[in-house]
Amino acid sequence: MNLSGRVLDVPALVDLATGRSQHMRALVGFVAARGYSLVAPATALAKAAVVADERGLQELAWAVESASVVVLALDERNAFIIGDAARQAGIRDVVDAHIARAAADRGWPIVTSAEAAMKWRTLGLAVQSLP
Amino acid sequence: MATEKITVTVPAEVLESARAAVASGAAPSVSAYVSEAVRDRAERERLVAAVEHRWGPFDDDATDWARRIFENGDGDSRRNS
Repeated sequence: MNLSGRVLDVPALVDLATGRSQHMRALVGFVAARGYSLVAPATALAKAAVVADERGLQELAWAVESASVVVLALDERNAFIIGDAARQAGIRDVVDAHIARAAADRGWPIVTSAEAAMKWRTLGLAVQSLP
Repeated sequence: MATEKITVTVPAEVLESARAAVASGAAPSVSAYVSEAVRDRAERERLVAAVEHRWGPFDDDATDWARRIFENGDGDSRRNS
């Protein structure tokens, strides 16, 4: 497993936005200090933005602008690849498909909530759960 | 960009890495290699300070969790496949 980065799913991004726990924000600081990477599929970022309030949106925007979190685009180059992989894995949600592909491509675990962890494990993906 | 010549002392393996990077074409010169490393570190420290300023300080529980995420490798991760 490549240990140099992690993929953030929607619950992780919501935690980062809201500061519900300090863990995600501490993870951003730790990753910055060590030169590791945190990536967020653009679709997951959009979904997190749906549930974030104005302050949360500002925090997410700062995380992206400061390059603390690198956003992975969904575009004409990877849309069909992601869709095809999702169909084969039985994933119907485009956000889940994008996250799963980002994790599988890099061999990185997905940082997620305890509640959402099982979904990724069922797909054979490594996860690391927020407390 | 203005440059200035300095003398630094580095471990032999660091110099070896720099020369290997130049030999492989990954860096145009040892100076460029070292400059990039210093620039990267400065940028990283700037970002850490910015995160701390915006969201910190973090409690021990959160900091320990963040460290475990990487130091434990798989952490709490499990695969069903």
